[in-house]
Amino acid sequence: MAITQDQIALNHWLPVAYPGQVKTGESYDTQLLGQAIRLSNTNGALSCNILNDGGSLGRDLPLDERFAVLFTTLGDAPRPLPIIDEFDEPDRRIVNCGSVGVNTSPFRIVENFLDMAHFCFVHTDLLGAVDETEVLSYKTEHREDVDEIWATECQFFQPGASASAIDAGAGQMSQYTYRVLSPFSVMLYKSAMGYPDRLDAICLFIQPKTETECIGYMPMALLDDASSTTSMIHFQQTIFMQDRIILENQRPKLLPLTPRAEMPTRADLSSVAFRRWLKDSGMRFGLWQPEAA
Amino acid sequence: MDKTIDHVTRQAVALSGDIAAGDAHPVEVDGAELVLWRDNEGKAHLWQDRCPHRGMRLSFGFVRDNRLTCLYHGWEFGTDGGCRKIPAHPEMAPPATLCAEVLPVSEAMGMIFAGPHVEIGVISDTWYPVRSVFLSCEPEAALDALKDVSWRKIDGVHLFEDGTLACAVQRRGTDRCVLHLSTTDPSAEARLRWARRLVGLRRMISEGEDRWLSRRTKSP
Repeated sequence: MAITQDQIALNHWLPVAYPGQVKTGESYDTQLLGQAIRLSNTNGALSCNILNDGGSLGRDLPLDERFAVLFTTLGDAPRPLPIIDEFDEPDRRIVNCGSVGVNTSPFRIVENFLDMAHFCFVHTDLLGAVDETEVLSYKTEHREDVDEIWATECQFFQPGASASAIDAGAGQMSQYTYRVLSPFSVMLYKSAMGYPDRLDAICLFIQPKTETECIGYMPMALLDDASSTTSMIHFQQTIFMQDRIILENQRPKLLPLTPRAEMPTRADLSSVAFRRWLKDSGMRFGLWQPEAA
Repeated sequence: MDKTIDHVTRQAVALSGDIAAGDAHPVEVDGAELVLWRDNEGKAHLWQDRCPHRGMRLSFGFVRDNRLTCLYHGWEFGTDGGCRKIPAHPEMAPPATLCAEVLPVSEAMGMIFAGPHVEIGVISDTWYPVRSVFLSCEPEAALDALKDVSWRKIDGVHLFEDGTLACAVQRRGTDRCVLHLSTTDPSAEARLRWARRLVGLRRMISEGEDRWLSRRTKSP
């Protein structure tokens, strides 16, 4: 597709690579919102440019490294990147889980991340157990000062909530808080094994290459001295691969906001809040549009 | 949604013998994605391949207790399409408005058809599956290649002159179709003969494609 004309979508900082992905002397071509771009590493200095149709380089794009992810923007007045204090706490392990391609709307991916009701069925014996399927009531709010959607007081019984919980062989009632950081990014805070008063922070930043082709980046700021980095990455990659089977088989791929196109229940309170917020934002990119009558 | 099911016309969607009780399969008809599943009593069901909750394809789901269960959140749908259970709220009775989109479906001549049953007035109660062959062409082109066979067409089904062979077309989309063949002849030889004929037909059509492609590549 050509670059989107949706100014709402264009004015975001969006992930395009993880640090170290583009090696010295190499370049990497990808897409953002339908626009071809090129990242180049010249003697250790990274640059990012529009890639014109003929293969020549267009204008320079800004690059910002945060949360173990590289971001750029095509917009003139992008929404600032969120503040996530946990990534600056010295005793945290920052784990970069690489990236996973998922061919669906970016908003289907955000919704899946917010969803607890699928744990038992898609992440059986890890994030959910087949005999404990109930989603207890939780709260959602639109925090207007930061323009974020939050879901709080979420809890779910998890047989293997993390790499460290699996090693300990311990199921736990996990407490969750979700933050929708932007239409293209979402994170959660979750009970950490052995740290009763602190929370693991797990993020998902989505690079929408086109309306239905995305790459997800999953940096985490964890309280975990025991697990190997490899086992933590494996855990997160396993979860994402299980979700991808679902995500690529939802129809339509573009998220529909029309009433009754999809029927929510109480467990979908966060999804309902997210959809309302998206609709109010004026976003059109990545959304299913009813055919003109 | 973008691919509605309103336009789906009466046509074959599978050979009866290929869909076992308790199985769910995706089928494509007139560009619409449908799920074909068979309940424990052996009755076939044809629905839009889409859970009304979050759009997940139901053909990825599984049949338990005579219900088709969605892979994503475990929502269970009864044979009438109505949602019976939402595991996230085990105590709640799902509202009656919550249902999968159901299409009429019928079985005749060893085949499953989208659309209501039509009495064709044939011949034998026992039909044996020959083969379903997936082709990259319009169904007319496929039937044209079989025109040496003397067919009579009855309500969309092509019957061999003596009524011992039935051929029905499934239109998947533009330039994509399936021919489903069944026979009243119980002999393995007869079925094998017709199966070979269909494989030959597919080869011919794909070779025609190759010739067409090579012409395209050579042209300036």
